[in-house]
Amino acid sequence: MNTKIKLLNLELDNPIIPASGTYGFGYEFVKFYDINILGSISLKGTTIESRYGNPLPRIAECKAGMINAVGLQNPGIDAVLNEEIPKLSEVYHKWVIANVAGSTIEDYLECAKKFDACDKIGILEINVSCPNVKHGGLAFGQDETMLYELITKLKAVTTKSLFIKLSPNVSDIVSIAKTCEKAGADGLVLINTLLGMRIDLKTRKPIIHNKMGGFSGPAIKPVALRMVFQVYQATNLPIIGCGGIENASDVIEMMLAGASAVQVGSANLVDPYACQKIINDLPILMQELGINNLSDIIGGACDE
Amino acid sequence: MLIQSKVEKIKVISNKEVAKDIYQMSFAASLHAVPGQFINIKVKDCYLRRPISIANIEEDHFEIIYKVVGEGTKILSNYQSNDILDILLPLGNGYTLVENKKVLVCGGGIGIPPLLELIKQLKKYNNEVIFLIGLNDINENIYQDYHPIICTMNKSEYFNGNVIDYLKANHLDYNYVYACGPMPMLNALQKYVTCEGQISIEERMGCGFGACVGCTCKTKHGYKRICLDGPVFEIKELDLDEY
Ligand SMILES: Cc1cc2nc3c(=O)[nH]c(=O)nc-3n(C[C@H](O)[C@H](O)[C@H](O)COP(=O)(O)OP(=O)(O)OC[C@H]3O[C@@H](n4cnc5c(N)ncnc54)[C@H](O)[C@@H]3O)c2cc1C
Ligand SMILES: Cc1cc2nc3c(=O)[nH]c(=O)nc-3n(C[C@H](O)[C@H](O)[C@H](O)COP(=O)(O)O)c2cc1C
Ligand code: FES
Repeated sequence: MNTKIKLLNLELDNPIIPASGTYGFGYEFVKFYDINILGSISLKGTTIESRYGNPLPRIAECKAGMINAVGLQNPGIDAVLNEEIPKLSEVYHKWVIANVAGSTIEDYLECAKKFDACDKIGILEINVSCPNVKHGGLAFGQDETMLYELITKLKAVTTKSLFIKLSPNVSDIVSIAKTCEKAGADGLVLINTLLGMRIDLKTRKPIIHNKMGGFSGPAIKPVALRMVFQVYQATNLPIIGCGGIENASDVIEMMLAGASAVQVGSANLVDPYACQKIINDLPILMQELGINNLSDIIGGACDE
Repeated sequence: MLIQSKVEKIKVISNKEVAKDIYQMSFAASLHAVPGQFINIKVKDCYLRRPISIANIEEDHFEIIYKVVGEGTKILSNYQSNDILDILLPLGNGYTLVENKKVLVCGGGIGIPPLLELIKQLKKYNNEVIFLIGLNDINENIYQDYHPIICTMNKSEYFNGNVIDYLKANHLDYNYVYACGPMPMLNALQKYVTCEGQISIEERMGCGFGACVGCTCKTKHGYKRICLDGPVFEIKELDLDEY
């Protein structure tokens, strides 16, 4: 069974990548298993300055999922480059994905420039879809003019592959994906969290301090599948599918919809061994389904 | 703390209601953990795990004490002996044990259980322990074996008031404090006591092992994850007015 896949010119041993924000800077998981089995790792969203994020509580539970309003807590790009990535490099020997966020175009550019010089990074994942910050973030992912400007400017400052991580909180995902392609993006990550909320019946107030937050987990898988399916047929960009992936079947399903690789998010929080289990189960399931080369099934569910 | 957290399938020995809506649950496993650490339990039909403190550690089993307050704890209360639960443990830093001190151990409501293992351990290190607890409902007093001073309302045989009222009204002799309980109690205690000590706090958690930063609080020593760097903090380390 061959689980190898390619994202542009980058090779991955398998398509399994922990999603940004659910795997810290990777090394927290070394206590559970050898993380070198992973295809790659998407690091916690990074901004120019160090951020605390939003006030507590910033986690709520829902049926088949969760809501978070962490709000891009991170130590800032300099600490990520000088402390977190070196610490991760000691225990993880493959290239990683840096997740970039910001409030202004200048923020994104400055981050991208700094990450550009780091050899450990294979892909820059541009987060224009965080629902948990007041400025920027999602605003870029919903405004095609701004998004176009951001991507063209980013292309000019980095040689790394640029994957744009899009928000599902839009009315026309295909149009936004096409804008990314036109602007010169190298690939897409679909999807970030859906905007959601929960209310505490005893206090009669939202559970999350910020009132709303990002909804993730198995409940959002159908939305992610649908968006990957639509975008795969409308653009030529490689897609990393993300949203509700919990097991090997979910991976196959996401790849049939058009994903070249997948990201596993919330599942890591509930079961720290989630990615390990998926990687172990994948060849077994491929055999059952008669799949020899995993990359052959990409987009298999789409007509053409 | 060198003890590694891991997920284990653990057998329930018993799960009995010891007061209204309060359950004591015993697990068949020899656990290497320190008082103040917690476990994160996967409960059927709930997406996130439920964090519960370790209340008692014996050679071949350990116990938790929890209150049914919502869906997850309700389902947890239905498990029976021989059922197998998927548990991530042990988690958090736990209390650091002092030696040869006069210790005030102060608890409120469902914050009391982790203090039981703590008291057991403190006694091994030659500490004198005063155990002071506040209960809204005196029927929740399942702690007689630990000889607590009880503060409650409208019951003539006990102190009438909360633990802070008790401390103000009585001159207790102590030079170290440990506490766990509702935030208003911890906040008042932090402002009242002058000696050093440690408190344990609760927060809604995504993972319980440091991956999601869903539980990060601000401390005098920078940002800390309650699940990994806590739940135990130095008593003066947190600005409890923020919560
Ligand atoms: C470190 C730690 C130790 C704890 N130790 C104990 C203990 O020994 N005994 C005990 O009875 N309780 C303890 N709690 C509180 C216990 O975790 C909650 O009462 C429980 O999670 C409620 O779950 P539920 O499904 O019944 O409630 P629901 O309100 O239905 O839960 C919904 C979500 O909110 C979370 N949640 C709700 N209340 C709390 C809370 N107070 N703290 C953290 N998360 C919460 C749940 O985990 C779940 O994700 C502890 C909490 C923490 C963080
Ligand atoms: C606690 C938490 C933190 C997250 N932080 C980030 C982040 O910093 N940057 C980002 O692009 N996405 C972030 N996400 C979104 C995930 O990467 C992922 O897109 C989303 O959770 C959907 O996947 P899932 O259903 O597998 O969780 C976060 C998600 C969670 C649950
Ligand atoms: S709950 Fe995830 S870091 Fe604390």
